[in-house]
Amino acid sequence: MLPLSLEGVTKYFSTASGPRAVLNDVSFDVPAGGLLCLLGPNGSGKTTLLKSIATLLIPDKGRVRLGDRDVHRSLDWARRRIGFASTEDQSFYGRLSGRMNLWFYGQMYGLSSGDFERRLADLDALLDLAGALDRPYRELSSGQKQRFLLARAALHDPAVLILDEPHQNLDPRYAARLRGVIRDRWVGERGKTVIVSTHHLEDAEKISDRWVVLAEGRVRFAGSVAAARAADPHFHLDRFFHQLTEPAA
Amino acid sequence: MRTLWAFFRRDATIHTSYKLGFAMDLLGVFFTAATYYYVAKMFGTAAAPFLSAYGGDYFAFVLIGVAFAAYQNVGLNSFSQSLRQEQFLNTLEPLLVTPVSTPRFLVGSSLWDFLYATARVALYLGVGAAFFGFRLGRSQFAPALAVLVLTLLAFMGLGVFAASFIMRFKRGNPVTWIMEATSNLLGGVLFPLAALPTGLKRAAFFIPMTHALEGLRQTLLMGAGWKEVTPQILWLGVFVLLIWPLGVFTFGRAVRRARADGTLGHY
Repeated sequence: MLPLSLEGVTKYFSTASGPRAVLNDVSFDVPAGGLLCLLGPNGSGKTTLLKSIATLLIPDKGRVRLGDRDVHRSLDWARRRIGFASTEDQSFYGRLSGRMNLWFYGQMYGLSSGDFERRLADLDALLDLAGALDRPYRELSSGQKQRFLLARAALHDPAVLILDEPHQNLDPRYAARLRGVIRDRWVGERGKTVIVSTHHLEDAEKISDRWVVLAEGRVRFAGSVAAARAADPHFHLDRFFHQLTEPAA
Repeated sequence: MRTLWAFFRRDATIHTSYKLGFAMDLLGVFFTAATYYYVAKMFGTAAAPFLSAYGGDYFAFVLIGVAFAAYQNVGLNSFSQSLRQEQFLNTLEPLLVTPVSTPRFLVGSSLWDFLYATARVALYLGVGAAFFGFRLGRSQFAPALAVLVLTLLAFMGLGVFAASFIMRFKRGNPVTWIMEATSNLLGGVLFPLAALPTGLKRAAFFIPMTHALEGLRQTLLMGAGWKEVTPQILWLGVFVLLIWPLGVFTFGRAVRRARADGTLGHY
């Protein structure tokens, strides 16, 4: 079990009008075995932040620490402990079967044949991949492809899972099942540290009480939604979110 | 080895799943060999003065040149094309969040291309022998193998260096452009360097293809041993020692720069 902490993470991207801060002094902690929802409107910096944690982007300032290590200074170590599911459900080899796609990524993590088969059986039980494993990836439905994104992220049994919009393309019944897998199995039973990004407030509330809300690259809220609800007798989730994410004047 | 095998299996499965393209590619070897056979027949003994150092047979000379020149094409293009393909398929980021090292990623993603090119070289020589009278009777295979391994390493090193430009600039690769443009003229693929004026002969000395083909032709066609091809082995060896550290360093820098810019998956 590993805690994750972000300390002043700042990221600039070049634009025609000069450098633009996509992330601005973002700091928060996720305790070991904790589950956090990352929310924000489109363009708020959620994916950039998740990619920075997953070592795909180097922050211009600040640090991402896993346990006592800076992930960007311990790339190999960190990549063995972080699983990242992006939103790119086309990021597989379409002419290979689902099984072979996962086998290929398993080899990148050095899984032996036995370990791969065990991991695959576990993921099949959790995510219900069986009907899609032996079909060419290009023939799978959007929902099935979404399951493969999650399976790939969890294939090497990482201590930390970073899931970018994991409920996209899923029907309501499977989305509910996935929430259960994340909350009860991965976090509850296995002690993984998980960050789930979404812009669906109802989904987020069903997954975790601990939220970080980003807007314009800044943390606008970090804490317990239940506490916010208890503190305000007139609390309304949509209004709460919209007030937090209103553009700065 | 597990990582390299995974890359090979992935690429072999994808490549051979395009059955018609695969068959046409192999069939093309026959037509290329046949074309050069009839070109050689047309020249007859007219080209012999330029080819005396290689036994005087233009077909044997050009078959070795065309077959082994494919390695340069693969070396220069394989890494950068693999990279472009991964960027285009959105599979680059998922690969780069795994702990696979840069050299393994580079070697693995081009392994199929090199082994397939080797199979095509064998097919060229086999088709030449079966249908057009090509013979390897005097060949010295041990030094030929040494020259071949160094040739592969030299072209792979150039390919890694070239891939740095693709990682950084996405399109536009001056290394490949320069090497392809100069090797066709100066590398001795289709005609011997003896046909070139002195100035161009000197320039040809700096092209890896020149030394690769000279070493291969001398060992395979003229029965040259280790001693005779020592200059080619030394030249290629030094080139390999210089190009690999440069290639791995520049590619590592290009990846780091792309991670900083957020352009890793862009194409």
